[in-house]
Amino acid sequence: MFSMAIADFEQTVTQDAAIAVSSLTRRFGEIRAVQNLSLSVPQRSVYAFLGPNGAGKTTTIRMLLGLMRPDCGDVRIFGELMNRSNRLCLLGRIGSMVEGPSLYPHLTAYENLQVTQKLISLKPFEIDRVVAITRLENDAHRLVKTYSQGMRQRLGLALALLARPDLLILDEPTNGLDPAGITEMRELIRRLPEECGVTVFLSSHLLSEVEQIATHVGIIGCGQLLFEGTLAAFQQRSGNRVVIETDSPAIAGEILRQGGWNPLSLGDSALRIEFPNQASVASAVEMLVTAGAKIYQVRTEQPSLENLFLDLTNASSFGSHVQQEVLHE
Amino acid sequence: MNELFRAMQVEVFKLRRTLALWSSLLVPAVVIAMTMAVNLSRSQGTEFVLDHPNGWDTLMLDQTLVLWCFVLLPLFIALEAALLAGLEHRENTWKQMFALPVRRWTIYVSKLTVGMALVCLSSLVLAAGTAFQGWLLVKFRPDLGVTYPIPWDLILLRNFGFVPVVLLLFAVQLWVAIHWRSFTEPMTVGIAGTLIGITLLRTLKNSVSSPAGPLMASLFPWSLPYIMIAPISNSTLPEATTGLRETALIVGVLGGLFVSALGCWETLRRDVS
Repeated sequence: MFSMAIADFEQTVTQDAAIAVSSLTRRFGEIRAVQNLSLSVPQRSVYAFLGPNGAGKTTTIRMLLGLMRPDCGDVRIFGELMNRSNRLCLLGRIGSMVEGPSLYPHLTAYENLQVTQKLISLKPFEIDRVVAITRLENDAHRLVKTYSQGMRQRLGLALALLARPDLLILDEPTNGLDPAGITEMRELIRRLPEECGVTVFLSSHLLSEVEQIATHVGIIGCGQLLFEGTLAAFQQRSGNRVVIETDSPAIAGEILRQGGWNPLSLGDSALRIEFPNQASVASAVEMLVTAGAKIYQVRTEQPSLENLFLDLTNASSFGSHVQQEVLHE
Repeated sequence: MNELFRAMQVEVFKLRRTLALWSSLLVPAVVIAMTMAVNLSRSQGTEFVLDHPNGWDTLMLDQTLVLWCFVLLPLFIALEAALLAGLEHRENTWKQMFALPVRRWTIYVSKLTVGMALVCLSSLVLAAGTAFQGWLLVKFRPDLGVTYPIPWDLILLRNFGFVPVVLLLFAVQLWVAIHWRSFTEPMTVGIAGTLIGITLLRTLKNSVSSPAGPLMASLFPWSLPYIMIAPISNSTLPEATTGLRETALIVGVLGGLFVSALGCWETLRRDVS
């Protein structure tokens, strides 16, 4: 009975999700690019898929779009399993830009849009619509080979939006842009769920680039999902990170280790410990005082999102325990 | 079918401002210009009509089409296939196209079809150029034996007669050009194929000493176009050359369909990097 309820719940979550991926795996020879990846992207969210270079983001995106076949696992788009029979139907609901825009430099921006418009039989006015959204009106009839990187990115986004997709998959949309271009692209993406009703799935290797627009984050490292949840939940992960300043961090560290904690030495005078709750902080301090350690200061540390992200991804790179348990919050 | 038609329309659309389109006009035009320059500057009394019944056949079978089918067409096809595939390789637009709700095989077939259409366009330029050159020779060099009226049916037959066998050559070159991203591989294959083809075609006239040569030539994609225009029905050539044209036609068309099907199959299965 209970297992049936769980199955029903999972089915509901899967059906509600714009993207639901389960146990996705892809190897390149001996290298495991993506391992047993499961993620769920809520509809109408801006989901940032984060990870350092080489973490498996682009490979995952290619599998989402059917450009690459997974070794195992499955992909559901709006609740429907992507397979050979319905791949084209599902692709009709997705707009994408993978690893930068793919354009024909010898054609104008308008002609580039016409290529896709003619190929998938869209009405010509859709071109004017996306040109307006991406603010390319003044340059639409210029050859793409004369475009700046920022304009190319905007044209790539216009191509992705051309068929009025329900889901937009953008791989590093701010790659190669200057700060002004990044801000502009960010604003453009931020408007999309409200104005066009789309779910946005975008990858980046920098949290700082997307933290202002993302509602949800998924963090990948070494092909594995390290965290998935709302941005607020991700921030809360640092809630009980405490720094203790003491006269002898080495002895204090040993005492805390015996108590079951895992302190990290911060130089000659301080330790950093992740506590599961506030009560554990009090127990740890009491234990140190009882053992005769001099405590100068106990303070909570509020790391930036970027630091949290780096901690998580670095830990995964160095094979720490952190990545062994996927955190869904 | 509509999807295929749209894909072909788009493939033609993408040819705007490309070398692929210009080369199918310019390369045959150069052949015409070269032969025209030679013919107009011939000294008086030069024997022009050799073993052909009229000057028009001499113009085509001993001049324009020999140059074209023997050497330039195989190289032209290698170039066209590399340029057509290069349109997508340049910025890896494969990933953009294959992420659209379009069947992958339609993209492949449309490239193949448009490539063959460019070959037909080059044949059309050759045919028109031949007629123009003949008209000039009638007007300025009547001594060469080219006479009115312009034999359009013969010109079209000669200039389009080899096109069906080109299918195999184009399918092979397109597969190579799509499979490898670099421009080097298809051009290397094209040049190597052309040189081997020339070697095999030279055995047509020495088929007594090397009887297997003509047969190999009729099976080798780069030799097929010349076999279709070579004077192999000529009684002076040995028996080993009989039936070569029929063999070449079967190999060119059926082989072309087979290699095209393989190319489609590979396109369906390949991961887009």
